[in-house]
This record gives sequence, structure tokens and C-alpha cells, in this order.
Amino acid sequence: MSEEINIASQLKFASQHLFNLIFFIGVLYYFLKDTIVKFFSNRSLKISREIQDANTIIETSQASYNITSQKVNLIDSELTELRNSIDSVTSRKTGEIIENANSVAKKIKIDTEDIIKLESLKLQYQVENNILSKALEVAQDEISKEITEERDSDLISSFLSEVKQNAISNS
Amino acid sequence: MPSATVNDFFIALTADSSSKDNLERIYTGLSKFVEVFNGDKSIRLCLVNNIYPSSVKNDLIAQIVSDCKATRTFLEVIIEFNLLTSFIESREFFLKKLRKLLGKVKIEVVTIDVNHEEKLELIKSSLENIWGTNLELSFKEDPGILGGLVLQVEDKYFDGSLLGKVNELKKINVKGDFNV
Repeated sequence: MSEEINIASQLKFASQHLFNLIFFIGVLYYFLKDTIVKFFSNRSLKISREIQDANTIIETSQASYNITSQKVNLIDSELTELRNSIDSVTSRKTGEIIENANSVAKKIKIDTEDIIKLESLKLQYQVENNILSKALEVAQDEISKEITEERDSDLISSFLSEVKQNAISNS
Repeated sequence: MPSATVNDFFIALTADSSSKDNLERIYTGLSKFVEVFNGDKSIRLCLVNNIYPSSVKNDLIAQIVSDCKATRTFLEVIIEFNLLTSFIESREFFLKKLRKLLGKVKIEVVTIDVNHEEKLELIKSSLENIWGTNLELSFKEDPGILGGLVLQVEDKYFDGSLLGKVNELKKINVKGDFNV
């Protein structure tokens, strides 16, 4: 029985407080309704603006990114072109240098061959001249040993006859 | 007025001396003068140098060319006209001109030995046979020619020496071909 009384008192207490609460909420709703609506409306607008700003920034950034990407692509293509051009120039120059080097080497080879030929001929003539000079020296020695008065007189007579013939034919 | 040249005086000298004997004397005198001039340095210096008076030069000329007055006068005149150097430079030309007037031929003979009289006579007679008896012969010894002889007849040169023949062989190369 006491338990029943207790529950009834508890329900009474709860209903009293629930009523107070509902009343309190009703008072709050009545007085704070516009303020809260205004606050949330402002808040909503602010967030909308911020979202719009963010979208604008995103769009600007996207545009900048696109431009930069284009520039990077352009730079990449220019770099590729430049690399290709450098490769081509390097290849051409290398070819020219090799060609020049080959031409110079060929010329040097021909010149050297000519010099060797000339030097060989020169040496050959020198050797021939030396041999001839020695032979003529020996001949002169032999002649000076072999010459006698009689042979000298014969030589003179023969030469004077030639001179006479020459003088007669000239006159 | 144009100045006189050695040739003008020379023409005057040879024109005045019409006889062959006179020309011969002039030739002998001039030859002797040239020989002394070439051989004696002090005489050469004295005659070409203007610091010596004419009288000294004339005395020298009189000593050198004592037996031909015309030659002496000629030399004195060319010294007076400062033409001695010109005459000396052209001496062979004037002597040759005189030889031509005299019909004389100058021959220089080079042999290996000038002491062999028989050989010299043979040469002399052969040369007279070719160029006549009026020769001005001079013999020079040069053992270097090995044998034969070399003749210088006025301005012509005849080489009949063995050295000349050996030198001709120098034109042949070792293969036996003539070098052009």
C-alpha cells in the first residue's frame, strides 16, 4: 500500500515538473523563436557565402592550375624540342669534326708520303753523286798516274786538229 | 759641252799612229802599262789617287812606258781628264781593239808542263797553222788539268783537257744516262 502511495506521489511530482518543463519550453519558444531563426538563417547565409567563396577560390585555383599545367606542358615540349635540337646539332658538329679530322689526316698522309718520296729521291741523288764523285776522283788519280808525255802530246795533237776543223768550219 | 771619253782619246791615238810599227809600239806600251798597273799596288794607288800631283804620275808613266811617246801622251791625257779608272775598267776592250788593228790574236795556253820545249813548239806551230803567225802566245802551267790543254783565244774558250772530259762525265748518272 505504501508502495502504491509512493508511485502516485512520484507520478504527481513528475507530471508537475513535466508541465513546468513544457511551460518553460513554450515560454522559451515564444521569446527566442525569431532570434534563433534569425541566427540560424544568418549562419546559413554565412556558410553559403563561404561555400561560394570557396568555390570561387577553387575555380580560380583550377584556372591557375590549368594555365600552369599548360605552361609546364609547353616548357616540356620546348625542352624536348631543345633536347632534340641539341642532339641534332651535336650530331652534325661531331660529324663535321670527324670529317675534318679525316680530311686533315688524309692530307697529312699525302704530304708525308710526298715528303718521303722527295727525301728518298734526294738521298738517292746524293748517294749517286757521292758514288760518281768517288768514281771520278779515282778516275782522276788513275789518269794522273797513267798520263805520259807521249800520251799528252797525242791528246794535244788530236785536240788541236779538232780546233782546226772547228775554226775551218766556222770560217 | 760634252766631255771627252777614253774612247775619243783612244781613237785619236790610233788615228795619229797610222803605221803598223807605231801601233805595235802603242800596243806594247799599253800592255806593259796594264801589266805594271795590275801587278804593283803602290803604282796603282798613286795613279788613281788625286792627292798626288800630275808631275809625279807623269814621271811614273815615263818610267813604265819609256819607248813610246804617243802612249805616254795618251796616258797623261786620260789621267789629266780623270779617265784612268774608266780606261782600266775597259783595258781588255782597248787592247783587243788594238790587236784587231794589228791583226794579232791573243792566245793563252794552259798545259800540265811548260818546260817541255818540243811540246810547246808543237802547240805553237799548230796554233799558227790555225790563226796565223801574228799571235800573242802565253803559256801557263796547271797540273790540275791532268793532260791535254785549255785554250783561251781572245774571248773564246776551248777545253781539251782531261779534267774537262772528266767533268763532262759528271753529267752522267750512275745508270749511265745523261742528266738533262
